[in-house]
Amino acid sequence: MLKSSKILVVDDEPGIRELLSRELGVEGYSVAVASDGIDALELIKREKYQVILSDVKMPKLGGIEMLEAVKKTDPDVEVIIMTGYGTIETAVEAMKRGAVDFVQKPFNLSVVKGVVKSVFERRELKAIVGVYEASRAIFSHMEPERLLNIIVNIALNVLRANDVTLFVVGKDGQLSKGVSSLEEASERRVARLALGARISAHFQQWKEPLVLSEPLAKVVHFSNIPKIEDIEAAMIFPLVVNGELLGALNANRTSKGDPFTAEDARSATIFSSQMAQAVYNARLFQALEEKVKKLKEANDQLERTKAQLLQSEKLAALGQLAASVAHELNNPLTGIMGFSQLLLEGSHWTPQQQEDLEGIYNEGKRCRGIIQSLLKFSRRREPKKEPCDIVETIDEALALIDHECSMACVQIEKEYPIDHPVVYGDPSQLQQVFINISKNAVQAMKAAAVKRLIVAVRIDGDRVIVSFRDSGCGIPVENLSKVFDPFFTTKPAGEGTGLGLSVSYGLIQDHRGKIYIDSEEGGGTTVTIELPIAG
Amino acid sequence: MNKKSILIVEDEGIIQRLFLRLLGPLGHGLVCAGGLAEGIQKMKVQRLDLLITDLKLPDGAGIDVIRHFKEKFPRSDVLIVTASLTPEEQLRRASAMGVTKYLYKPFEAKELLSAVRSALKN
Repeated sequence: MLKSSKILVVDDEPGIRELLSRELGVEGYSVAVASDGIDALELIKREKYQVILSDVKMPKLGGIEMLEAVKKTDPDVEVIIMTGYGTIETAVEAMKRGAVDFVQKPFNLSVVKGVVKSVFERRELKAIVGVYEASRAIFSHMEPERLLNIIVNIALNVLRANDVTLFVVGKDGQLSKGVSSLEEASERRVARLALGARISAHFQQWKEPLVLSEPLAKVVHFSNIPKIEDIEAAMIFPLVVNGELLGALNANRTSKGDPFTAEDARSATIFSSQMAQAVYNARLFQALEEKVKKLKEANDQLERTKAQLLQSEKLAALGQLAASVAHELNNPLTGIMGFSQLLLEGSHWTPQQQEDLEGIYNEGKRCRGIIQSLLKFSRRREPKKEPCDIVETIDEALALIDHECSMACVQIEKEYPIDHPVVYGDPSQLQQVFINISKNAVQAMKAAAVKRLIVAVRIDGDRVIVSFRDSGCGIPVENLSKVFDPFFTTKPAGEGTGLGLSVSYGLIQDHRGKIYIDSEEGGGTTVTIELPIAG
Repeated sequence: MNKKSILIVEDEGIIQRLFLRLLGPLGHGLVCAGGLAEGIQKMKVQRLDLLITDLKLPDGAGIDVIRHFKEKFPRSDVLIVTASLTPEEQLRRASAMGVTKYLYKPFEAKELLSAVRSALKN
């Protein structure tokens, strides 16, 4: 039940006190009286009054002095001075000292009521403007976490509360998450946060704000919650947008004699609806950011897949070309080797001629060797798959090139997870890939000041991510798209066929995985392999 | 010497000539055919003890040559001489017909002679 606004009438004349008490009481205000400044100050200590209507000339402590004292302790209390006839100067004096308005004695009752009403309206307006100003500041904040804290701190001010707790509806549909203005790890804070569940229950039923002018602990709804005895008055407002409950705002006062009034309730109503909107907006913004992030991830994934597909097609086409060329060459080679062998059976050659014939035969054999390696690339052996410990497989591969690495003074750093992931694959084919990549890395670091190869394994959902990062010369941007092409090599002639990476690409594809490269000229290269985890 | 008859099915003239030159010294009868049709023709004319054939022919598949040959001469052997990239499928079918001898082009003269000798022993 809301308490009415409180007025304190201070006048040394009992008749005035009685008259004003009665007349203002009729207007719906709750009126108390005091006979002088000292008396008034005493009453103010015990209870909160919104407006003081005071005489100037009083024994013990006059109106002006009382006004000054009140303004020091309770600056938001409005004081209306009642001045005697012909003492405008006093009125001006009082206004300078913070009085909000004045009435002249002997007064016209309707004038007095009018002034009182206008003072209350001005208070209301100030409060409402204050709420809107505060709200504007809040709307610019979009991160939900910070937003909640900001709301709580501004609410303390706007609602003139001793502590404020803001609850938001969590994923479970309950008011589970709360942000409180009280210090961390204090019992009172814990108690406030515990109110959430009870508040939830209340709002499911009524969806109406709660403004309590008796201690919270006395309300049957909130009984049996420890450590809330200090709450003398409480307001609990729902935050609702489009009929959906987003949260609740709980503001408490712990000093006696200062219950929440209709004024406070009105401010709170406006504030809650503004805050509900702010929370709603922040949520939408967050959801939007999530969506954008997901879209970006999906897009990156798509780009990767596109690149892989393109590469596969390139390789398939080249493979077919290689196979048909090789095939075409086999028959003529049969002739070259066959006839040269036939001739070599003859015994009538000079040593010189014998050597020449052998030359033909040997070059024929050499051609055969080149075609074999070309065909190796285009013919992929079906992998013999079994569960393999990826870390062990990598270590075995690295062991095989250990000598080469130490000769080249390359340091290998390993970053493995505690649990070794298992993939379904052909261990020797996988090792072939790892060896190929590592050898390329060693080659790339030939002229590097720092020769370090970092081999890292990590688990990402249902995939294993293996990466080889070297501190070598990197790959210039114009070559990056060609690295997996067969016969593409930057090595000097005679060193390597340029088939390693293209074969590796094919092998990883056969394992339903992905392989890609990130590199910067002068900044090292990272080769990443993704493989599905077995099972 | 027991003179045998060998059918060589090979579409390239120069390779035919190579076969003739390499196998001539063995003393057996050598018959050449340039494709499936000619091969089947030659099978009608005389008894044959060995078939040497490539798998890729201009007018058909070596597999069909083998099939016809095996139907006509079930106890004679077959030697497939083929380029290295032959579809697994074909090799499997040949194997199903009982063919066990393969030579990959380009082959060594020694390899050819040893394969022919071993095929004719049976």
